[in-house]
Amino acid sequence: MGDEEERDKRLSDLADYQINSKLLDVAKNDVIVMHCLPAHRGEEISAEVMDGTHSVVFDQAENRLHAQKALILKLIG
Amino acid sequence: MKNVLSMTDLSKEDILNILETGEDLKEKRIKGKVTDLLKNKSLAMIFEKSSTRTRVSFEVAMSDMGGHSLYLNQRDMQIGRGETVADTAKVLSRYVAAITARVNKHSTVEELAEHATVPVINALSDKEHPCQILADLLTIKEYKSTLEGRKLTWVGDGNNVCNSMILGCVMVGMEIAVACPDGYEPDDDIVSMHVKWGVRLRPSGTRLRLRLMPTFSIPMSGYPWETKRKGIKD
Repeated sequence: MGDEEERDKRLSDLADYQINSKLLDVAKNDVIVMHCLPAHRGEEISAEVMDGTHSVVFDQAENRLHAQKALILKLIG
Repeated sequence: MKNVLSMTDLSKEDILNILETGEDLKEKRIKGKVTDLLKNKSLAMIFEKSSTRTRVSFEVAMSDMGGHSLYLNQRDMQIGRGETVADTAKVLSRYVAAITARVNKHSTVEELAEHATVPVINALSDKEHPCQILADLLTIKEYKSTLEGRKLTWVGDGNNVCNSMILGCVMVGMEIAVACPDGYEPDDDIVSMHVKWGVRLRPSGTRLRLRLMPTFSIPMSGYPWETKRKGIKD
């Protein structure tokens, strides 16, 4: 399959699995939404949810730094 | 532990310990406290594919702790082309304290680890992404205080990150459900780890593909999901 064709297939296969406000409606009120980034807004996650109050994606990105520091320290500290 | 190629290279205690240290280092950083814990130590970072977050987070991690990092990309390294992976691992081990590698094939990071005499960290392979999961668990802990008994639902592609997430969740006593379309399931060998760990696997409907429930220690066999994946007949 060509890259573009494969991308189209993935998009259609995964279309029903988008994290959007409709999905959050059935989740608990205190649900947190995570994404390891880079995100494709409007594909696997809606921009609304990504920038919404449940989203912790940028804390999650920041925590790569702290977690990796701790991991490196454990190995060579 | 010498290398961290998979979540399974860490014990539950290792994970909890890393999260605790991570929290502590985060607090220190916010307060502007200097931590010169890795003075004069260098980290080699091999990147077969570029990655902003991985590169920057590792580079800043080292410089924050008084150490140094070296960004080695495919063009500079010619890993597997000019020099064998094994020789690269041996040579780098003479210079640096640890190696991270973001590779296309998981076997490359395994080969590096086999021949390196310093620790090797998998900074993303086609199989696993342990560094991401440590950050994710740290985030969950921050928001939810505790990990054990928490429920996580993975929605979408059951990819390399999902593989590590399954392992991470089960190891810390979280329940994980994976919702993915046909053909996007997480790797079989990862899911089947539940047998070794005595974790209950509950297959479900068409969308919600599987749930791993560490709170129940029921050995299982012949569930439809497993049967389908492994081609075992009832």
